[in-house]
Amino acid sequence: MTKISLFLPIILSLFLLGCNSQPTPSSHYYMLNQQQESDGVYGVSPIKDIQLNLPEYLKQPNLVLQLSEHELSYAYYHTWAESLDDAVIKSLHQDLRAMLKSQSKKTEKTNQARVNLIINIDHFYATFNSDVILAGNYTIVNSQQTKALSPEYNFTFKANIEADGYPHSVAKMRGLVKELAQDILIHYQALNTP
Amino acid sequence: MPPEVYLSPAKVDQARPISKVWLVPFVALTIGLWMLYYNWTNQGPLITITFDNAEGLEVDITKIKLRDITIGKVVDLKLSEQFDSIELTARLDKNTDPLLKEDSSFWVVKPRVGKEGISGLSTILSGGHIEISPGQSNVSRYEFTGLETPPITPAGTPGLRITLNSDDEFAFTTGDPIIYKGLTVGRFEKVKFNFEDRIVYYDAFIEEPYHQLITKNTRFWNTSGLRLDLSSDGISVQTGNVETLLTNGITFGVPEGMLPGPVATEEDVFTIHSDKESASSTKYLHSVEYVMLISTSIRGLEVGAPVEYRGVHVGKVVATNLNLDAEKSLLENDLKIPVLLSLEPGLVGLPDTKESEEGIRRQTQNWIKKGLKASLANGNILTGSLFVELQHFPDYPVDTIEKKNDYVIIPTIENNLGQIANKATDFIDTLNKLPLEALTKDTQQVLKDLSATLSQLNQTSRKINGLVDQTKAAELPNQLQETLDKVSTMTQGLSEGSPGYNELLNTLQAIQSSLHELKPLLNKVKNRPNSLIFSDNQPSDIEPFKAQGEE
Repeated sequence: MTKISLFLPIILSLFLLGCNSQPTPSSHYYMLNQQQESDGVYGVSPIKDIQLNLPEYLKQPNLVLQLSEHELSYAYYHTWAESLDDAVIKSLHQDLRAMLKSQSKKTEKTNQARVNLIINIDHFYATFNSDVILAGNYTIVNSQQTKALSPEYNFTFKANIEADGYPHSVAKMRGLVKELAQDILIHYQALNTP
Repeated sequence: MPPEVYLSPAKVDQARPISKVWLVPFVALTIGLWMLYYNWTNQGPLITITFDNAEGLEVDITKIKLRDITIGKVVDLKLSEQFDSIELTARLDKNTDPLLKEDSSFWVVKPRVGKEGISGLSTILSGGHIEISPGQSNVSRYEFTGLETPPITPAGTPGLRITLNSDDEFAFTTGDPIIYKGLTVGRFEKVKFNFEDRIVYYDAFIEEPYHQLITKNTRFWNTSGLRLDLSSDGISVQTGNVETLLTNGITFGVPEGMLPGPVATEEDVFTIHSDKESASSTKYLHSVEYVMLISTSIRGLEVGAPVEYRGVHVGKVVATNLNLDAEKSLLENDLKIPVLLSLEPGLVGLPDTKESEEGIRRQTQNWIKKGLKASLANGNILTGSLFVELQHFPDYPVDTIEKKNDYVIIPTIENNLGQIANKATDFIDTLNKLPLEALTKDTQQVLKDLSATLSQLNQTSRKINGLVDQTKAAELPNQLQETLDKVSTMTQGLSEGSPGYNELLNTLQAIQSSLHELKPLLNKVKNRPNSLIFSDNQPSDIEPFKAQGEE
């Protein structure tokens, strides 16, 4: 009886050991936009609606890393906390509002007609060349999206990666979105310049 | 005066009566006498053989041989007194007397080419010799008549010598083979023609052990060459062996269903039949003959054609177109052609006796009364040959049994093809008798009535359709209005800003979000299905890296 009472815990322990698994890396979720940037930014965005078209390979939560000219890698443990198109649209709105607000302080800008924006993004990821890239084109259209108000503007923004890891790359990608917002604002304001 | 010489007295020796010189001829004489005695005591018998001619024979050169061992030589050759033959004298070796019997035979061995093959080729170089076949008789003999050819069966060969006869046109010659299942078991030895009977008799020898196959019931038949037979049973090819294919020959056997019987002796005489069928057909001695009268053609019905009862061979056709009706000729219309049949008790399993004949006769008459009929049936469509078929037709019994020239008549019925033809004719006649014209008119009238009825039915159908359309047209707007009201209520519930719309939107977003979250999991399951159960050792991700040398 004593022997059984000794053996039972040992056997159970062995079973439990069998269920043991190797420690796996923890998952990381990323937001393109950050809380500090959105705080205190109010006002009206000159862009009423943004229609953002992402390529299929970016319509999934895993972060993408370009390994070679024609090879991509999906991160397994690093994913977007929200869908990328929503994140980009929010970031653009936020940046445009912030930029317009700062310009208003300087130039007392008058009200301008609100327009819509159609953006097609082709590339938006970190690359094997230690940089991040944002490339595509956009068109400014009227609010009913029935008429193009501008030609199609192609854009390619790049930024060097200065630290290893996805967190730094995401921060750099956010910076590229800001550059895009700057470019859009320039072309938007050009529309209203006589 | 010469001095006196004293002479001593002469010594006189007595002279010998016989000189020693005589010893030489004496020894020579003794040796000669010894040689004579030796020669006389060691010489064999002196025999005389008569041949037709002395071709290949020479004195002191031609040898007498037995199984290629020289046992003597020719010592003299001379013409007979009548000059029609030669007489050969030969001296045999000592102790060869037992070979010289009255049935011993001698023949000259020389190159021969015959049906049996080529023989005596060795004598081309060595010259001919005389071969002896020792006899088995107890009577010694020293004068012989030589054979022109080697004996078919050497004396003393074990076996059976039988007599065969044939009055057929074919003839056999000495040396022709007797075949049994392809084996040559014997040969013809002599051919004799009996002028009184005009029959050829043959002496044939069957070698041991095949002579045991020859029994009292054995039948012999000709198997010369190739025999092609077109009969009611089809085409058959018969031949003995290769030798009989080129020459003549016979074979033998016991007919099927017949016991072999006692073993044959040398006194038995057998007939050579022309073929196996005729040999087998004579196997039973007793038979009962009947007549059937045919009103149709008997073309294809041969003598010897089988008579079958329910497919069993029970007899044969003995004769066709018998001249039983002396007062009627074939030129008359209603003449029925008589065909003579014989039913053999042995073929139906009864003993081949007179009593069985009676049994067959009684049973057949009984069956005829109950409807036994004979008909001609096609044995072979290719050759058109016919045979006689006996069948029961209980629907056609007869009261009295008719006879013609003491032969009982088996009533006939037409064969199957005839019956079919008659039935077809009856059917066509029946069709002709049908009132097809009236029937056609009636049918046309019925079709007209039917057409009118269908027209009325069509009109009625149209009216009904009109009624239905009116009813539907009245109800349809109301139903449409109700449906639209319901759709309107539903769309109001789901319009933008309404609780239903927001709820639906939230649900869709939740689903979308769930799907978004599920995507990595689905990818993982797709790549590693077992990762749901087992821990996956997924390596760390490859992460972006800064440029080399950049700090």
